[in-house]
Amino acid sequence: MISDKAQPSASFAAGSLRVKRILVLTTAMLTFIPFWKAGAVVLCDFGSSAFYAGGIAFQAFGPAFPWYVLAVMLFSGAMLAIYVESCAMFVRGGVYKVVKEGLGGTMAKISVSAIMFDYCLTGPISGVSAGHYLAGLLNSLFPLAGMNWTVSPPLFAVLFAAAVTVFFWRQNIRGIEESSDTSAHIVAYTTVVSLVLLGWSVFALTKIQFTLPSFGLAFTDEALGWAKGWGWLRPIGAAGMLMAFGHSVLALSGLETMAQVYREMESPKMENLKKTAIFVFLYALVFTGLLTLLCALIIPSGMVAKYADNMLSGLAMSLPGPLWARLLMQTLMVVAGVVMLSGAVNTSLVGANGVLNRVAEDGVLTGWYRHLHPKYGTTSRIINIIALTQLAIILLCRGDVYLLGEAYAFGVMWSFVFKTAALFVLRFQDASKREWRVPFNLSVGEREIPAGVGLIFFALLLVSSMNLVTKKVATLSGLLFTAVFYAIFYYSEKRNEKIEGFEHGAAETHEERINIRQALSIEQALTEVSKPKRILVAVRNPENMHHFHKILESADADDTDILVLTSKVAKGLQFGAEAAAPGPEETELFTRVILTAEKYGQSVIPLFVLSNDPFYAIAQVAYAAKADQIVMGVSGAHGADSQLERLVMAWGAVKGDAASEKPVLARVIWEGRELSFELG
Amino acid sequence: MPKQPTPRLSLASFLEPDRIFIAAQGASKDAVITCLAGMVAAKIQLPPQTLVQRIMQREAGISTTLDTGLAIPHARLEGIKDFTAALAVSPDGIADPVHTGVFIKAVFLFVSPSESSCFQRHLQLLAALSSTFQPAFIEKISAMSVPAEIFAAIQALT
Repeated sequence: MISDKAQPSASFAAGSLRVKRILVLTTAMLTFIPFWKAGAVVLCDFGSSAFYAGGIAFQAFGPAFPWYVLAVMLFSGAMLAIYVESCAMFVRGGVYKVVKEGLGGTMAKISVSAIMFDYCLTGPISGVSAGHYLAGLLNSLFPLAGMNWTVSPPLFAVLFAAAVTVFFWRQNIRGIEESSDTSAHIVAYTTVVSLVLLGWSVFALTKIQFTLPSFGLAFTDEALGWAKGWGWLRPIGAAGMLMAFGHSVLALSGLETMAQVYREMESPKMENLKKTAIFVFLYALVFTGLLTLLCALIIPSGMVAKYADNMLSGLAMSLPGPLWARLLMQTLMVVAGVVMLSGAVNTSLVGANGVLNRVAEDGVLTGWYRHLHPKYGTTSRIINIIALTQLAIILLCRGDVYLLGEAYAFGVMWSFVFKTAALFVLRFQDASKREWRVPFNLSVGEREIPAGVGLIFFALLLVSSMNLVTKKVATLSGLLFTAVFYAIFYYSEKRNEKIEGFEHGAAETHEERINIRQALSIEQALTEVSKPKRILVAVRNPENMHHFHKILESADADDTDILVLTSKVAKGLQFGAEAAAPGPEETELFTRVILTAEKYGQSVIPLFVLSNDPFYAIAQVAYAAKADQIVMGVSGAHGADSQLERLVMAWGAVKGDAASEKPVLARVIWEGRELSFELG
Repeated sequence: MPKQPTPRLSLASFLEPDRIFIAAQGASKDAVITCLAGMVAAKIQLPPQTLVQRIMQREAGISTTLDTGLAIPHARLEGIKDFTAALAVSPDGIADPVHTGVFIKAVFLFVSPSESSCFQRHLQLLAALSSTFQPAFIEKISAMSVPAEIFAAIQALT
């Protein structure tokens, strides 16, 4: 029911031109987060490798591990730069999009296949590692409780990882998403615990004798892989460093989350992305790099191997101080590890599901995969496949973190290679100005050579190629997995192409999944409107959004609600009557609205209204929302003058002779021009 | 610097009692517009057909009928200096040809200078008409049988 104020002419209800039905359209992507929350989301995945990267690197090539983990963390700065530039080009600039644009569909499918391998391993390695930390803590606590119990760390790790995977599988099937607030809380807690550990460790360094870790590399036969049999490829000098770097590079996993979270970043988007990148870089450098170095400095050399699967616990237990305090520190660190690593299990499921959904939208997966769960509306088949693969990997690895580490990083490294190559190619294919570019660009005549991107690509290619030789498990399992996924993509795509009427590549116009809520009144539809300023933007044509861009550019997200309204003519309906939901045209329009809002990092409130007269709909909603501005684009059919005239008339009819609470500016904006009028 | 409030327009200043009439029962919207255009054309010394054509052209774009029972056909004309209006009242209501179920009880036709400097005033007049001619007022004037009474009622608004 419309409020009395907004409906002064009840006697004309039968022939009313007013709103008949109002729908509020919602999507998960319409709230935007500050840079530090975005950073927390990235760190929950990227930072979680601090709990196992050092141990795996130690087992591969010995005491020099902290130097290489530090080097990888420094190199993450270069990869973050690649991600910042790719996000500057594409708001949804994950590996698939960037590689597809730069290198084409085949390479994009290979990249996604490779990164799927890493997503399928991220869950198990995180879950199993968390299980090891928990088992280590229990084994420390049982004797103190007078219990002569011990748990088998590998068995416990398998059971724990499986339980966490099943828990998050269920959450994902039910469509329950962990919020960025949860990530922020996890990172905040981990930061506090890490700072205590860091402070205590620095204090410890003043009390104990320590020596800097050796730079010497002591590869196991397993860590040399096929290189062991190749006399010319010896693990010394630059080749050795490359091998060691390759065994540490798994600490880079999780950066793809940066591309996933960029779309949710608030305005000014690019500035916030840069802040996020710096925040993530510095945090990872200290949290992963410095803590790993402190492990090497403080844990007695003979004990490092014992703590290889839970090295930060080892650090806590090796600090000087009473046992209870060390156990407390270990407990706090284990809690941090368990929540962060469990979060990474979830991120892997969410990330893999998101990437496969993106690929599915592009027609690369058949409808079978995109089937929605009848009750929860989630892509349950994709989630099931990922979860089952992860559970199989957890069982097969038998709780061996090192084995998982050996298999790890194939996908992430090759996806980085392809992504960086694509970015390099795009510099030549698309010379348009970017908001930010990877530095070190050389001018040669009229041409510009992206030397920075080129160097990063070269470094990635070298490390990835070396890993192909030294990381046998990664190479064999990675190639097999990538081939299987690529085959699925290839045949699905071919099958889709055979389906009559299938529009391949339709997802270039990505269709947003929009939830619809019918409101019983205009006021009920406006419950989310809370900021002191309100702007109502009327949209109709996805190709005519100049006015919407202008508002997104200039509105201050802190104090302004932007309502985006489209109306469909529905003659003869009464308010609240059932009628057709938004059709394909409206879905396309709102998808464009959401993508545009994402680009600017501005929240919008999309509304879809059925009315006999779109200008009445605009006036009624603006009046009920107490809008400060009503903004329209120019209509090719009518012209700005007529539009403004009709809006003025509809406004007067809706408002009647009620006193004005505040002036309302009606604006028609089009390229280079604007027509406005202050409504009473 | 706070903006000075815009003075309320005197709607009566655009009218004369002899440019107000009571529409016959069963008259169509087009017929009423033609009649009103004739009155205004006489005042501004323009061929009635030319004015009817301009107004109909505008009506063919976005309708000027409101669900309050008011229609505001209008045109912006070159070569005129002032706003001029005429009013028809239809006690029985005229079925709007575009909006099914909407009945027009008052038709306020006006012309305004086409200069862009006059457009704001043009919009002010539309705003004043649409907010003033609410159902209660329309019912009140449509119950009157003498144009002078209607004119007085409009005069009394200001």
